[in-house]
Amino acid sequence: MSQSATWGRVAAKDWREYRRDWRLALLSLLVAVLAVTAVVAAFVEVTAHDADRRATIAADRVTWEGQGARNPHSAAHFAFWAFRPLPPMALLDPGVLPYAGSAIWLEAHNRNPAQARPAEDLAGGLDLGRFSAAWVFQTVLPLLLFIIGAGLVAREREAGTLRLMLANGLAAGGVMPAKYLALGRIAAVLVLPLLAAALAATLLAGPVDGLALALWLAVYLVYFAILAAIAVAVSALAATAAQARLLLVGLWLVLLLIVPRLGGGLAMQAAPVPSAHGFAAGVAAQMKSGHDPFGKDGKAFEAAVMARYKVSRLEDLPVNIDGLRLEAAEQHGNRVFDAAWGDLAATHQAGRNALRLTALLSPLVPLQNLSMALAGSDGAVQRDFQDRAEAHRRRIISLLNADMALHAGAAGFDYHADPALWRRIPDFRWQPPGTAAALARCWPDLAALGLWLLAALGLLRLAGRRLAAGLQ
Amino acid sequence: MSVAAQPSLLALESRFLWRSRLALAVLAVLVAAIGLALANGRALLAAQQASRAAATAELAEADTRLRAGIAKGMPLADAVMLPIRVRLPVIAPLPPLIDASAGQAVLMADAGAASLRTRADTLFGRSSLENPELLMRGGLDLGFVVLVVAPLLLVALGHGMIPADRDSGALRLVLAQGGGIGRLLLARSLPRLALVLGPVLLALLWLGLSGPDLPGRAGALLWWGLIAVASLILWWALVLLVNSLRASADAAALALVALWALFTLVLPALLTALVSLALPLPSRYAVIAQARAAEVAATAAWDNDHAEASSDEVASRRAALARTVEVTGKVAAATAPIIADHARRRAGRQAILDQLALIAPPMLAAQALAQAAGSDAGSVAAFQSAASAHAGQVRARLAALAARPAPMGSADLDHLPRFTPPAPAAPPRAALAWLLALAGLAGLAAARNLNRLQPD
Repeated sequence: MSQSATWGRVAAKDWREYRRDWRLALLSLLVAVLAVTAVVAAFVEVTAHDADRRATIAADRVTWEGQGARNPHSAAHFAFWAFRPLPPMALLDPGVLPYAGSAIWLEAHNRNPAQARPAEDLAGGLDLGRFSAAWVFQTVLPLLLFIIGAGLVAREREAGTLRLMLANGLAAGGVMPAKYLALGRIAAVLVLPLLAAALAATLLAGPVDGLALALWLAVYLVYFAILAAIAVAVSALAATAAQARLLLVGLWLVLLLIVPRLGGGLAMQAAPVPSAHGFAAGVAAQMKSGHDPFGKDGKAFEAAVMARYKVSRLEDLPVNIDGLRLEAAEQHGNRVFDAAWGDLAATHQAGRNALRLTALLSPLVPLQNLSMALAGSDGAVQRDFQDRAEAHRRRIISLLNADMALHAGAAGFDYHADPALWRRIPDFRWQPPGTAAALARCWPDLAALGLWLLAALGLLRLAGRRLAAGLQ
Repeated sequence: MSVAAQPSLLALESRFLWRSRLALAVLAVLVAAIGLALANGRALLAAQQASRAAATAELAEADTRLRAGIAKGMPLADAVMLPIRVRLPVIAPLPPLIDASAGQAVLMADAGAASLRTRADTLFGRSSLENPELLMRGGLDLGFVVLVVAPLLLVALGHGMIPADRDSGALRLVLAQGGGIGRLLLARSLPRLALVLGPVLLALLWLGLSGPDLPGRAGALLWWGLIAVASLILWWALVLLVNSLRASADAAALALVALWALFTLVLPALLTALVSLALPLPSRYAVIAQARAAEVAATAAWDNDHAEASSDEVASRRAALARTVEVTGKVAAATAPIIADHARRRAGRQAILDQLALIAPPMLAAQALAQAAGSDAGSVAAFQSAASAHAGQVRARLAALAARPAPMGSADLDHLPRFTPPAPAAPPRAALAWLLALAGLAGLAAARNLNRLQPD
């Protein structure tokens, strides 16, 4: 009998034993219920969010276009809201979305932070991570995999059946590959139906980038391969099945629960963000101290405008000076916002870099980074949304200021724009960065996951050698 | 064995435990986790204090400037605009033990300013700027250690107290030497419990001795400690219960890990998801859409956002101010039912979840720890509700002052309502009683089984 056929028989035996153990079957059922609930909950959430967003945008457009004749700057204060669409793959991994706002008020004079963070409305309880399909795959299934895998080799050794397997034609060096295959088979039976359900729901939620989806599946495959290798290796190295189980649960606790939190805590301390009030106060101070065409710099501004238009009196200007003042103040504000929000983005990036250091301590950290980047729900995509919304704010405020400058004439702030102006202001549209951008920013995470795979397979090989030496 | 010999059995078991690599590993993991939790808690506490201090300082500075302007005297055209310049601080009380259980407080805005234009939906517009990529990883606080890490360590230490000896065939001998199963278990339980509970209680003591002198901190420490101890005693009772069954050490470990996973991972996630599915909250976007529609409907021209810039004349400014009051009032009235409905349904959902937590003790303990720390969802909701009501009162008082012929003075500023935080939540007595009752039940069941146990 060929070696691979022997491995197949070992895997089949382990599968039979797994099925006969009602405790493991019950645990697997519970995990499946959990995963299906996560998928259903996420599907409801993503589809409800999208319907809600579309309805709000439509209602907002009606409000905007129906505001009647009024001064463009008055309209600039009401302005718009930008609402972030959820990517369909957020159903698989919501990433930062629960902790990042999805609505930004685009008003004159201010760059506002994103609001409506779902986490603020979460029912309080035991927070072990945002409940989602990704959470089940990243955290719960690995525990199940470790519990199942703990006894695969250790129990055989305790029962003395390992030698029996050797007598039946299994080479000493083939025990570990056979057991790895066995755990892989069990994991596939556990994971594949759940993944299929999650993927079906994702495809129902909207069009998905096939490449991103395939890569998302691939990184999870690598993740489970790492965990399965660790489980079988520990099972072979431990003295008893009970010891292996506890060791693996301990590893699970440290690698998947403690280290990511440790990384988050360290990153927050390494790259502390300013308080909301401190940040707002700093921006306000910069706004006041800079160019003020309505106040201290008013005369100089008027002189410069008159020189540009080659007139000697404000009344002779072909444009309304207040419209130009508003735009100049806006440009100054934009520079202040660029500096302040740029610093904040740099702080966030420093936090991300600090967190990445813990990728060498836990495979979950790089997996999470990759998973949410491919799902379009990581911090970089959120920042892109915020930056695009800000660009849109600037565009529409400039359009409104330009209308005031060109058409207000002597009426100034008493000028009322034609309602047709509101219809010319475009809606906010945003296309998130694609898969190539996700891969470009996540190559360190890919490398870390690759290193983890190599290390886990190395551990498996080492454990196999020790086991083979013990058996001979 | 005589009663006098009992301490020697305890000492013997303690020595065995201390010499085991498992105990050292448990201690190392626990101490490391507690160290990280304390460091995180300290950083969070400092950030929360700094944030509140920054908000308080900013608003105090604005108040000083305002008072200085009034004292110095100003033209009537400027004086009539004073009501729109008043910003009164609405600062959330610092949860007394936020460094032990961060709870919901970490996500919420901790300060706002009540003014003539502040509405319930704009009071806390300045939300946290924390990196969402770090927030999503979850926090590691002392509550996490007590609820997640420590029970697993208890399982590791206790799963084989009886089954391991039975597996090796030594149970009869051990019982003969130990003088009975009860005494043996007591002698084995005490050092194991001390190994886990000791560092947790020491950490609490450290928080008490080193922490800031916050109102209610001593009481919070006491209740937090009681809940933590009750929660861990419940886990130990479950360990004893599984030990009392005729199971191998491996089966006992599997059963206990499965119980931990069920109560700590599966049930809380499942219950929260099911409650959220069954009782969805109204959309936050509805408030946005309603506020905008009301604001646009209530305004027609240049009369809201820059009331002070409308004109230099007193009459024009008064008219602009009156329009601002009117517009803000209309928007607040239009959004109030949606905000109230949201708050009511959120509270209802939380109440149901609190009831369901009775079947998931770690979830109940998590809520109780947060409640003791002052950082639970209920405390946050109570603050938000009180803050919204206060903002409404301030707006009404300032509107009355804006409508008054005489301009505002310093005395008017002094008589404006100040924000009084709601009373702290009651201590989690019911949760403590429930956890202890469950521990008692599990302990009794274990004792009954142990009395019938045959050392075969």
